[in-house]
Amino acid sequence: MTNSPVITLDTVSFSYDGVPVLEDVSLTVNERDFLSIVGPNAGGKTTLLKLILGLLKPTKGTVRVFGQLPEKVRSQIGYMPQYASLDPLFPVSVLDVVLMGRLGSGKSFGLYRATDLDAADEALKKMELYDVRHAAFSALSGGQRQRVLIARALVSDPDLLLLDEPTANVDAIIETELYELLRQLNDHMTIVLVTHDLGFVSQYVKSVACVSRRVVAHPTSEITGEMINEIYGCDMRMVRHDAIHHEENTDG
Amino acid sequence: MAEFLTDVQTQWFLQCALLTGILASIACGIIGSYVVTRRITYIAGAIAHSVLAGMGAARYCETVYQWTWLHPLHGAVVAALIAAIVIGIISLRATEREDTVIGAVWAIGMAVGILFIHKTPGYNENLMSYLFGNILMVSSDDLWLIAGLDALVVAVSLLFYNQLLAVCFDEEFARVRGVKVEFYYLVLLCLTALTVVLLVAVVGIVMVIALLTLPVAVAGHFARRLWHMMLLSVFFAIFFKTAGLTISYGPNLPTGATTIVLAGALYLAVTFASRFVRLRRS
Repeated sequence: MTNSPVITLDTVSFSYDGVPVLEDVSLTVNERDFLSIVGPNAGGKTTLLKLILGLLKPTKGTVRVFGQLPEKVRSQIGYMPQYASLDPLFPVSVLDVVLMGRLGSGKSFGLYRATDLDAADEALKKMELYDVRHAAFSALSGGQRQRVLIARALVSDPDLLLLDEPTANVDAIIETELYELLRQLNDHMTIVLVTHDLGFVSQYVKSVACVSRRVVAHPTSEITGEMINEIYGCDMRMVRHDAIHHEENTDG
Repeated sequence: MAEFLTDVQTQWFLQCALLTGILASIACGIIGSYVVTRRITYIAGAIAHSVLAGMGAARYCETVYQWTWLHPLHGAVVAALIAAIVIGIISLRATEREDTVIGAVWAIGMAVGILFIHKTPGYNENLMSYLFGNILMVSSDDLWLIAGLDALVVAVSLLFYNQLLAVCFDEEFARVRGVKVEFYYLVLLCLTALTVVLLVAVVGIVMVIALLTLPVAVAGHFARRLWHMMLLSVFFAIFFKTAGLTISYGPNLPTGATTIVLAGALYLAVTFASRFVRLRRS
């Protein structure tokens, strides 16, 4: 599997009710890459992630993960959604949430197996949540909840980890810890994360994809402080659907 | 209350009513917890009202065609399942607005039921007992049907607890984990439909939503996990129904309405008390 791309998007377009969200996106993510997807709000970052997960179907083009349709390889993918999308009142314990990550790999009815419980304990320990495993999910702080969702994504021992805004609503210290942890995980898994904060993340990730209807990918080594400004400036202009600026950005 | 306590020892119809209340409470607490946390109370309401179509049709066939084996509860089961599947499929697949579909099923179900009842010859005392229920009218035959439905609902909902929990909490993640989200959503709606039928026998169509949600709402103040919520909801549901029956019996009040008023009062009390406690703490 070495050197074979983990994710391949070939001229993918996606529109929602006729409104184009992504246009003509081609993107390759190789094994052990650590890709950050950045871009303005409503620029299509989450849509791109959901296309890779197979939750959305491209209007045009093809998406392949591990060389197959995303639905076929979901058991190898760990996914962390934005936690703001979850019901804050839901009666569920930390352990309950993490165990949901074992669903696909276990039985389709009845109780969880001992191996599932062991895997959950391990993921909880890794995220330093073992002591609060019986607490209500709703009683945790924002940072702890993010870590619970990461533990849930890790508990199935995935080869590819997809995270949507893992550091939203988290203070700087926790953010640093989180990225250190992801860097360790990156030793044996490919990571793709969505963020709106490129400045901070650029010291950890290996490459950056800038999404605003179109996608432009860069290795992080090419990125300088000036370029970040340029990308963001560019993005802001690209929201106005200006194709010329997109061309300029590709040259840069 | 004393009158109830002496009569319940000798009167079979009271024992029957008590047993019906307890059986319905078990399904009600478990499914109610799913319904409240998944926020599909409104769908449960639509299913409840569409049940009138089934009860009306069954009563009509029973009277006009002499199908004596047919019971209004049979019609209720069929109508509730049809309503659940229609709403489920439309909300999953179609581009129609979901709340419009729910409202339509709600109203059409009632309208069809009223047409059937209007055309059924004889004295129509049934409409009132369908709408507002009469737990004291439950017969031994009904009790068997209720027990059967109850066992089915409890068994299925506990067997697929993990899947249903995941689908209610985070549908998208469940889908990524390979859980057949649409299937479990339809299962949940069908279980809701069967529970609604059980509750229609106890409190009638109009007040089903109250019994499905109020015990859960009270339990929600104390529960940290879904199955805690289910256990507590079952307990509160049994408490409300038994207390409703006991209190209403002596002064000859409508049992369903008494039960709901009691449940509503306790819910409000718990809500205010917990707000008060939170304010004191902060």
